[in-house]
Amino acid sequence: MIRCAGLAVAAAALVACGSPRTSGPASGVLPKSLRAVDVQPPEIHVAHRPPMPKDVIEAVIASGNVPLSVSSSCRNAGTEPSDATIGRYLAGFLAEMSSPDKKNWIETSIEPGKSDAGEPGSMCTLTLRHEDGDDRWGWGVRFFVRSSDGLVLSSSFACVGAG
Amino acid sequence: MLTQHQLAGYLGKSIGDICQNGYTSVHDNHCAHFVSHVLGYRFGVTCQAMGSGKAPGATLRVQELFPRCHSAGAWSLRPASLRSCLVFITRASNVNLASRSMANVPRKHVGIFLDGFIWHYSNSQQRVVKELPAQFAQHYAPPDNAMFFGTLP
Repeated sequence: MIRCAGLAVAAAALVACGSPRTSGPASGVLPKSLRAVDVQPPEIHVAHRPPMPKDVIEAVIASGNVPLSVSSSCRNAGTEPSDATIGRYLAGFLAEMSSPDKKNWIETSIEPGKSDAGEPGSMCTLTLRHEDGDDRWGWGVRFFVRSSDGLVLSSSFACVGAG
Repeated sequence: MLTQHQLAGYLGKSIGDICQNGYTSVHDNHCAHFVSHVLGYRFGVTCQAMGSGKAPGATLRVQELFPRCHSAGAWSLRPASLRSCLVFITRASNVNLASRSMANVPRKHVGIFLDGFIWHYSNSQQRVVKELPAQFAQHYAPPDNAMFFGTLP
């Protein structure tokens, strides 16, 4: 289970963590403290340390709003020039995996490592893979999970893949 | 200057024979990776950054090669005097010639054209191959087989 924390208000946390929106007043009448623009990115913590493959996948899903500007490796990585987030980038390749006749799979890897600040943790990689003759690719993300508290460092996201 | 003799030295080689940075998974697409090792392109995301080695890195992504070409256009309209260039194949709508940009779509491929032949990395065969442009045009099925030239960066 991923824990979302550090939000100003519970309502904002629900939205940021991907829970279904609930009915309520339009954002235009919300107090300033409740408006979406004030919502800080949620802190994401993985369930196991080191993370398990399921934790890696869940962390990526929960990090869908991380902007592609997080890393130069994500520049122009989306399948459309307008793609701006990790979620949109991955969605573009997931959408290419719809044929039941082709070979597709999700690959995860978890390696011990250190953050840029020298903290011990796990370097996690998720890759979406496809093979159909010469139509062969693997695109995904890499990010760091801190050992001390299982925090997913959103600033560590990078886009992996070639071709 | 690029020569047929130089390119012939790569024929039949796998990416593991070419890349010293360990970025050699058979499940990855190595078309731009091969081209960049041959021609010495080291911009954007490289095999050194993504791999485990310390050797000079090579550019990995087709969409980072295309904008670096000094001029580009439809393959059929390439200048007759163009002896060597990069050759790209993808769906025509993925390419914006005016802005010299290419989207990172799954089905895109690049090779090196020299003196009537195209050298490229066949990901399905896991080796460098040499083909005529008419053969290269069948790398993907329509409509993903529009070909473009790009002068060497």
